[in-house]
Amino acid sequence: MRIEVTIAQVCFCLVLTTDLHAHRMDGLLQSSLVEILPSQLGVEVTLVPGIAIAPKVAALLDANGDGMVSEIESAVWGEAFMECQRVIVDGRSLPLNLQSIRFSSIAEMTNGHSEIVVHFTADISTTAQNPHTITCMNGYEPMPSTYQSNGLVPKAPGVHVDQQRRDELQKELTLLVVLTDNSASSTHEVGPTKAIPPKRAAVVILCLIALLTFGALLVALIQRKHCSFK
Amino acid sequence: MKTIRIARFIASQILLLLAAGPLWAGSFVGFETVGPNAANDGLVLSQQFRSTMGIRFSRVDGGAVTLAKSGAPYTAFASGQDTALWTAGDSLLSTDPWASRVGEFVVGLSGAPASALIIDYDYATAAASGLLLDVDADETWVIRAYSDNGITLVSEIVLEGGSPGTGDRSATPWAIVRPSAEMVQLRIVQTGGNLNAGAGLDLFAPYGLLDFSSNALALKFVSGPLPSVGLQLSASPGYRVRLETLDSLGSGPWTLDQALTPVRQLTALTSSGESATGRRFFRAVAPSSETDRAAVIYSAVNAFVNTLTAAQRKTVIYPGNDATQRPKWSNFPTGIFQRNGLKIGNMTAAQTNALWTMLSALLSPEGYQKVAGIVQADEVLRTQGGGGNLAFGIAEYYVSFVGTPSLTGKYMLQFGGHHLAINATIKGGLATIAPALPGAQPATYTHNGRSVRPLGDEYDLAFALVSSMTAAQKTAAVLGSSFIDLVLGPGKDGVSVLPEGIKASDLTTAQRAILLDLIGKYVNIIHHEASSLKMASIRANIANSANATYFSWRGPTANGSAAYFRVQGPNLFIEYAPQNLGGSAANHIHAMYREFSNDYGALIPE
Repeated sequence: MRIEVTIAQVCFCLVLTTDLHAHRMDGLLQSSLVEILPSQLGVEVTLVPGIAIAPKVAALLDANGDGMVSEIESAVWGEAFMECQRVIVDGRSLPLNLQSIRFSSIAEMTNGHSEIVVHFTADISTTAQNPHTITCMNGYEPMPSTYQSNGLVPKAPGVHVDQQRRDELQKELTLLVVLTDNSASSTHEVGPTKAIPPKRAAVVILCLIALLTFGALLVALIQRKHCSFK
Repeated sequence: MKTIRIARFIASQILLLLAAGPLWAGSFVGFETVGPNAANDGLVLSQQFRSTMGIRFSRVDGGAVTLAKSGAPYTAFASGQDTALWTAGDSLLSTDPWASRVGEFVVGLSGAPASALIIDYDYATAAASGLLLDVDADETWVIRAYSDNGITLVSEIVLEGGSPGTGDRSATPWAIVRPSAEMVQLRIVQTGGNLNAGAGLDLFAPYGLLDFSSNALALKFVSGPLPSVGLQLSASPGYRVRLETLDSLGSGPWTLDQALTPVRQLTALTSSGESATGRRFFRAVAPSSETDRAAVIYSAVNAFVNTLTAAQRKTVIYPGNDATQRPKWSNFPTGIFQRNGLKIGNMTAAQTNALWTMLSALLSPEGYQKVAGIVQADEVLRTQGGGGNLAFGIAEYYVSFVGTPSLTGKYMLQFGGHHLAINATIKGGLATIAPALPGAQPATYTHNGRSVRPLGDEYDLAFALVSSMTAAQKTAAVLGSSFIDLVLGPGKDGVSVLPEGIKASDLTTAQRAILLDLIGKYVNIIHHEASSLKMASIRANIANSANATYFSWRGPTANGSAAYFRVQGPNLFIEYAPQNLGGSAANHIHAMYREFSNDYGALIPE
């Protein structure tokens, strides 16, 4: 166990004994908002760890324990998170595009204000007849989690959500969607968050450097499965 | 006793008036001066007001009636010897709506029945009113009116400690109204169990109802031979008021008697005449328009801003286009979330008073009470040991403006702290508080001997609604067996989730009435001129099945259970979410109020 995490955990324990009033205690709340656009689907997942498990979440992000989350660490965590996400349209699983990750600083997490917001999209290209069945599944479960999933009222013309269904745990959200022709011309933004432009090339290069630098540690993190999916 | 009910009713009307805006009393005694002389602590009162008001002060036991000054020695709010333990004795809580108006001096009242205060009149009156201060939970104060020298009782008011409107270091308005000028003596006596009780009398209006704050409006009863009775009303320029009458309570709607809109100078009107029942009830309803409300709000906002130093203004007033400050609000306490602006803990007493006055001008009486209750809950939390690196309590509530306040321009007033975010967009008399976060922890607490539930009505109404449902209705409305967290809390601006639950159009008329009451608990936080427009729109649409309003519930349906509920309409979003953060989830509530297309006043024109 790294010394930084140990200190952080001591801090959390001190906070835990005195600041029970204002914090989520345990468990990881994962709240998803799903927006359907004419040819794209956007998902924003907000993760709020309880104070008792915030050190573990901080450790997942801050892999080298230097108190900062580097772009590499963010990308690695994002990769692990995205492995646990599924979007299935009319029975077909779609490739997902991570758009942005925002997170509290490690210092803020120490103070009990932990929040990670992930935004990803999937391109919808379907010729099947209406209605379309769109299912979003969040299987990220690095620790005991509770889930909330909600579809957003479509802003784009030509998109209509007929029905919203969830499983009991709200890990799965299924929307019955009707897309009409005039939806094709829409140019609405996806989701409420400001997407950080992906710097894929830089990320790839940095990932390679990181792999060389941190070797086994990153491999272990990447391979660490936090998904509840089989 | 009917007279009590009537008097209480009229007192409630006074409260509405006071909450609605600054008003004034023609002839009241504030005790800050005594005749031409300054008041002083311990001054004996007897006939100093006889020449000007026709009243005299004495005690049943012949003892001296004395003035008490706020601060040590503490001679009014507790009888007996002075004690340093009562460090804030003889003064109202700074959050009391009357705190800035009662001044420093009050008439000390002793709890021993033999020490009852007597006020004798040289001229008979039909009405009297005033404030009784510090009616504690173990005290019962009775104000009796006699038509002679303490023999023939014609009316009495009972102010029972622990009942609404009473409390430690709080002001309780009272009023007695008779159909004719028959009262020549008042006695104020304590009949509760605590003979060492102390209290104060202030803002005493011996001949009328009452008193209001800023030389803007005055009400005065006009006595006359039976069955004639009348009321005189006067108002300053810029204030409009409707005078309404009724001869028998419950007999029908109030009738507009006269409307008064002074333009250039103080103007008075008198309403008098015969009553079919021998009685007549009056009420003045003001302000009655957005224009009136605009003046009231701006006056209070301007008064607050004028208390700020130049340096404070820089930290309080942000540019109107500041997109960072506008959404900077949270349910978190200081230590987790740092708000901008000026916090109460760094304000002077005058600034704090001006702040609460400003909020009372902006909010409805019930909205003001809710906000004060949420803030007080956090003070309770502080005293219960919440702390560590977090800061709780009244001192940690911040105020700021986005845009420069003006009478006609659009700006935003932000007031918030732990479990509270009021984001009020104001333009003249138009206003919305959306998005607002009215939470509470503890959700139930005792204050001044009273049980306080800042969000209790909301839960009770939602529970009443869900428990009134048929099995089929519950199938549609109850979406889960456990509560969930806020879906559109802080940081979730600009989006709308898919509605779910039961449509209001699938409820019975009685159930829809409950739902409207529930919605009103949130919409009516803002002043009534603004909320009435919104509520009218919601009411008109409530049974619409195409553009529907939905109600959903998550959690057990047993009363008192921790349960989440949501109300969602075309431009309305309400959430109530218990928090599983240690302790009882039902005692820690986060809530949201949004108007999707009008959050931050988007529909209010620039």
